[in-house]
Amino acid sequence: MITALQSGDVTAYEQLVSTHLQPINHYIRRMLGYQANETDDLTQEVFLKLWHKSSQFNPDKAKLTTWLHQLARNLCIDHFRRNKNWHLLDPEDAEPVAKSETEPDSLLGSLRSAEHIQAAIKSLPERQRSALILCHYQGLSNKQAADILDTSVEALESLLSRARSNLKQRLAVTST
Amino acid sequence: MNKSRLEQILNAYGADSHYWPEHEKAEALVLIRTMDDPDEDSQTLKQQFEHAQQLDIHLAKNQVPDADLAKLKMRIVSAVTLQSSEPNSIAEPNHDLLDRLLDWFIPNQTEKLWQPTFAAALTLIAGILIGSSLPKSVSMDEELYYENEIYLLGLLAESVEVSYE
Repeated sequence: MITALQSGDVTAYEQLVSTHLQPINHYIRRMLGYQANETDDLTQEVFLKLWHKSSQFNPDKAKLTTWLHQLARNLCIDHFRRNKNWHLLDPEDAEPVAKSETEPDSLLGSLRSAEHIQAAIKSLPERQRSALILCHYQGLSNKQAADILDTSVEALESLLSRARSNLKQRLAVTST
Repeated sequence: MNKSRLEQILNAYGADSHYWPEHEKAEALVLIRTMDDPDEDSQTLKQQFEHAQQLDIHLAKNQVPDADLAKLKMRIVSAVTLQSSEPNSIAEPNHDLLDRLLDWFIPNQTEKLWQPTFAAALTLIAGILIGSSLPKSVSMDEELYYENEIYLLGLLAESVEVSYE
């Protein structure tokens, strides 16, 4: 399939788009937020890069999903830079935020907390957010996620720990 | 696998073993069963497990809303299909330095006529400057040499203009 794509086969390209469109689109939407208008544009740009730069992809070195997520992540970072969201690019830990009140145990409370959770994830620095999304939501292995973030598995686990610690504080997670 | 490593796994990946590193999963699951032991370390482990579990429940609520991916897919494929139907449009433009220089000196658009004209004028000016900077008293051979050089510069300027036409 990759060989066909590299030869300019549009049918192969269409099949690859069908396979990878949802995970890539979900990754970008989780990174930028669900209301961002640019998510479809960035998704399209990922697959245009797939078409134009397919010769640069080496299937012996990485899986296509890893490469596509790398492209998506780079585009998200460019998006943050264009919109001057510098604080989201800060590799250091986010400052701990004040504990929120515990959500009421009701359907309305459950709906509100989903938005609260997305807002909490969106407030994380880019690398922590990427690490969490890649490992927890995108179903990638820790090795794949580490490759996408161009880091070691140990450093990835450190990012994940910090991300989860920040989220626990923000969401006031306590044992029952 | 020890309790310290298990704590690291819980802190990084959460309480759901589905997310744990594959090569450590089996040993970690064996160790996690000891968290009901009455000793202090086990109770600490149990608390960490429950904290991780609570966060996992919150994270699971964060589902991506539905989107019209069929429409997006059509848009993506159409963009490439349209490009493919144009001749020589599949590959991205070559941005090598030499190509960029050639594009600059020999542009395709009429609006950029000033570029080859400027290049020709530049060579002419260079020739005039060289000629005027020469010492007045030169030998016959040297005079012939410089005349040949100026003549060659003039030919070069003409060839640039001709290649543009």
